[in-house]
Amino acid sequence: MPVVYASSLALLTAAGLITLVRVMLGPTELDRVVALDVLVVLVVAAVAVEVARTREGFNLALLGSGALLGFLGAVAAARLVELRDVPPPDRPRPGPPPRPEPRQPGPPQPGPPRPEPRQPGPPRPEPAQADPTRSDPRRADPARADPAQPDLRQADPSQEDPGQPGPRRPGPAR
Amino acid sequence: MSGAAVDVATGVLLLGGAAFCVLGAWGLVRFPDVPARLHAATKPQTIGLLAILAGAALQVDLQFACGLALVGLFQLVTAPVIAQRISRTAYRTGRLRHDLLLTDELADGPPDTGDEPRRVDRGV
Repeated sequence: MPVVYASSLALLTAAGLITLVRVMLGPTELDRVVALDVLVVLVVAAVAVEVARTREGFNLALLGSGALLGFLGAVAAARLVELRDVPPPDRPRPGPPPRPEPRQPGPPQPGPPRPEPRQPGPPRPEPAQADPTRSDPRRADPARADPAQPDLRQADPSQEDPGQPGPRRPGPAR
Repeated sequence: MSGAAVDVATGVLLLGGAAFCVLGAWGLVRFPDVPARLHAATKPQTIGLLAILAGAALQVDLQFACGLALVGLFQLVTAPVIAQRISRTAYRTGRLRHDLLLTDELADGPPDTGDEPRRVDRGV
């Protein structure tokens, strides 16, 4: 049985190292989020092997907290990326070009200016993806505009819908 | 069940689960984009973890085995949630390769289910 435990831990370690390759390579942060979640699951599995080896259940709290931590971390990171990078509905989808436009002399934006919105990973081959009808009507609240990411929203006033002249700025909180 | 049989079952479950974890990690490296990697990140990982938990549950007392079963159940519940959140974020931020999609059912906008009034979205 010690051979079984050692082999299992060795396999889990190998899996963790392979996963770390993806964490380092991962072209987008979503890849890293996925890989880190897998890494947490591997740690939980290794602790389960340890539980089997010692035949004691005192590490069960570690198992449960590890699983909970992995879940919450992955969901929170995915939500962070979504809140930061999803454009408002009257914008085209994050297609090929985030155009460098001069900033509008609008109200001073709180927070440090970010250099550019993040490039979407691989280039999109279909320009039809930039169809604004694909936007989500539930994303209509301008108060959700992230003040730390002003470029996507304030860059190009020509793409505002005609009902809203001028760049959108965070409205009153609802 | 005799002790030897339990040990054999434990060994098979632990090694098989660890092998599934390695395969999941290998798929995580090999697959081309985020939704494909989620396949490797959720299914083989969950199977591997469940096998390892079952193998560990054979070795410990019943109370601890129940705790291990709860951890496995938690993993079964949360893995689809993680996959849904991350794949949704990947689609909405354009971080997926559209040339690999066979069909894109969201290409004409989100489905209009008719039961969602226009509302203030808090991002849930």
